[in-house]
Amino acid sequence: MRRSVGVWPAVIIGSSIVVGILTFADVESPVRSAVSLWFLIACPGMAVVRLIGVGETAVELTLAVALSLALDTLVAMVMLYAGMWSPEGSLAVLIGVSLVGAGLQILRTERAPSA
Amino acid sequence: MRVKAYPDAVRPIRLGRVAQLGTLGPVLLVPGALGLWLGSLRRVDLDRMTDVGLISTLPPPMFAALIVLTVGFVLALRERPLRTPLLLLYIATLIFMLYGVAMLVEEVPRFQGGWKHAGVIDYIVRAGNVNPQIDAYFNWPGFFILGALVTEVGGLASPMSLVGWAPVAFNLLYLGPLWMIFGAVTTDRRLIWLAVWFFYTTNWIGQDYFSPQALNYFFYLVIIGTLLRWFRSPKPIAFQFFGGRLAFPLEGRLPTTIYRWLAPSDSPATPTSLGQRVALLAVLAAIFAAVVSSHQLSPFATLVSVVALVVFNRCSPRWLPILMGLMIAFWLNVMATAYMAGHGEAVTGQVGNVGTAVGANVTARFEGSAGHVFVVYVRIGLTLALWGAAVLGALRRFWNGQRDLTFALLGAAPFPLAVAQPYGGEMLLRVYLFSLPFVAFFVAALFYTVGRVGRSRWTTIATGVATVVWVIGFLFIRYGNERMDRYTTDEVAATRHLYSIAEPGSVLIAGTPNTPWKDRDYERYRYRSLTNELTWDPATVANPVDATAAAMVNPDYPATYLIITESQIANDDLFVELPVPLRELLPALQQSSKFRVIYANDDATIFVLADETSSGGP
Repeated sequence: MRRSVGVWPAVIIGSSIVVGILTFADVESPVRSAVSLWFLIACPGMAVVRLIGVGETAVELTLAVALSLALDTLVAMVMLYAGMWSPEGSLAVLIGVSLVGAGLQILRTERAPSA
Repeated sequence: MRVKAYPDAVRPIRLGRVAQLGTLGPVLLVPGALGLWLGSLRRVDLDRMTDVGLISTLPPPMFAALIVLTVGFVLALRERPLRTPLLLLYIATLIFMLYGVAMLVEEVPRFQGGWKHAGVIDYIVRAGNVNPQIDAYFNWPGFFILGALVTEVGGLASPMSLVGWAPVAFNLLYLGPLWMIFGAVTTDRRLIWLAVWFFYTTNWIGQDYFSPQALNYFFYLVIIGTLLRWFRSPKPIAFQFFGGRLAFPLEGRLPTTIYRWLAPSDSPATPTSLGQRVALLAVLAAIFAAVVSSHQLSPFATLVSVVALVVFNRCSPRWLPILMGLMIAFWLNVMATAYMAGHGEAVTGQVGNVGTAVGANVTARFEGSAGHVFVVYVRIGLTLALWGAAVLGALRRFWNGQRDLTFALLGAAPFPLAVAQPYGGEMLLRVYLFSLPFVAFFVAALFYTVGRVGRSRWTTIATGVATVVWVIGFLFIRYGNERMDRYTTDEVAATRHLYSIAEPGSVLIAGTPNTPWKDRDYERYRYRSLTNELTWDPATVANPVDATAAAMVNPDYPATYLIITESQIANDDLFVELPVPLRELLPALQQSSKFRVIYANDDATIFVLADETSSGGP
């Protein structure tokens, strides 16, 4: 029996695609605000934290939110201090982190020995 | 280990009809309380507010709603097994009621700090950089850069969109790490839930507004929660090194014996592999990097807590404080040099000056109107009561064989900060905040000492009564300055008008700094206030109109404007900020031939000098 990949990789990939479309197409809508907030608060961190495998969902989510907000801050700050301030650029980096993390989660599940 | 017998724990529970409602009762009480609360909001008359703040305007049904919610929660806490979704619903409802009430009844976001922070973000959005010469915020800009990113990516019209509901959002964020922290020392879920409940009913110091410290507090909780969960130190302290070939000189003597007693080995941490531990430490380093770049004080508050854990053998990565110290030193010496060059003496010169710290943190707060002083007494009294209850709770736990050294250390660790630096009179507030999770835990432990107790009717009643006391105190303390913290649409209209007419570079003077502005054009004007411009000398008191006119003479700038608002007057009423009451100065200025009113509404008036050439002249 194959191990279940879980819902999170799909959520992270889906959120990354939607926030990318809404932001880069400069869609003016409350949906954009809601999706962006969700993505920035949860997705980059969850992409990384689930790779650590800490178990309990509530704890995983707590760490993911903290790491997401820290990564958002650090990525944007590095770009700003480097003289390359670009919210879209920062978002692209964060989407990249999220997609790579979600991809690794899927790959790890694929390679895991069958139960 | 001594364990007391508690017959109440096995006694059948009888609470009459309330208990007979069974499992449905606690569920129904949530919408009941919420409905009562929301239905009463329209009866809140803010114009009736006195110097004790928002509580003076709340109608009785709102207090009834809080009591209903409390009754429901303590009943839900008696259930076996506990229903986690129901308890979560109670906590979320409590947060919404206590922390969202101002946003529901007031016209615009409250509290000047939030407006100012939105202005820093607005600068970054417009300029795409940080100018460290402007002020301290631009030397610790992490939070503001994050705000700029959220504003831009989210397509928000203004960062002010983030300000109003920030307290509710931040407090919801705190729930996760609180659960991690409490869960690290006990498996008694009722004790955990009650500690969380007490945390939210006593987090009354208002540091959860839209601010760097509110976010950094979340980071602090996560760092501590992670260390307690995965990095506890299960090994006893070693005084022998290199396989026993080198021994600590005092090994076997009294000091090391005492230290061993104070720093025993901890219970095993949640099992993790080496890879997981390395990854978790990397996550902590990233989070702490965000803390270091966002706020002056939070990194130190986090550091002292981690140092306490390491020194007393509560935390296994002993090198962690060194890494954290290096990160702080890097930021101070490389990234914040512009601020440190001009303010180094102010930052380090007061370290250890206990008299100044106590004066700024305690004595100065007893000044002001009678209503304000009453609120201060409530604040001090309930804080001491809370700390006293925590000490009793810790002793009760200790008496029952629970040695909570880790929480005692974390509860005590922030206190040296209070005497180290006055931090503008706010350090005691921060000490309260950083020790609060552990204080709340011990207060909860006063009621639920060990897992088998806490379901007696007396414990339930006592828990409910304690909650009601904290909640009433919360409303007094948190919203005690609401007369000044609340802004109106008229005041905002006045500041918008000012921005529309004032040429960039002009001097904008407020009666007191408590004004709904700076959320835009942060760097384009010279913001001042009469609290700094008017001195407390006899000449000013004798002729405040002339003194104000003199403050408005700024020929080096394009123009000078004076704005006086109702919230500034309330600020002066409460805290006595000016040598003459602003309430009396306003009509005097209106009648003076030296001033000309260029804008006025019910809550705000804007003046220029009648002889505009001397003020720079528009």
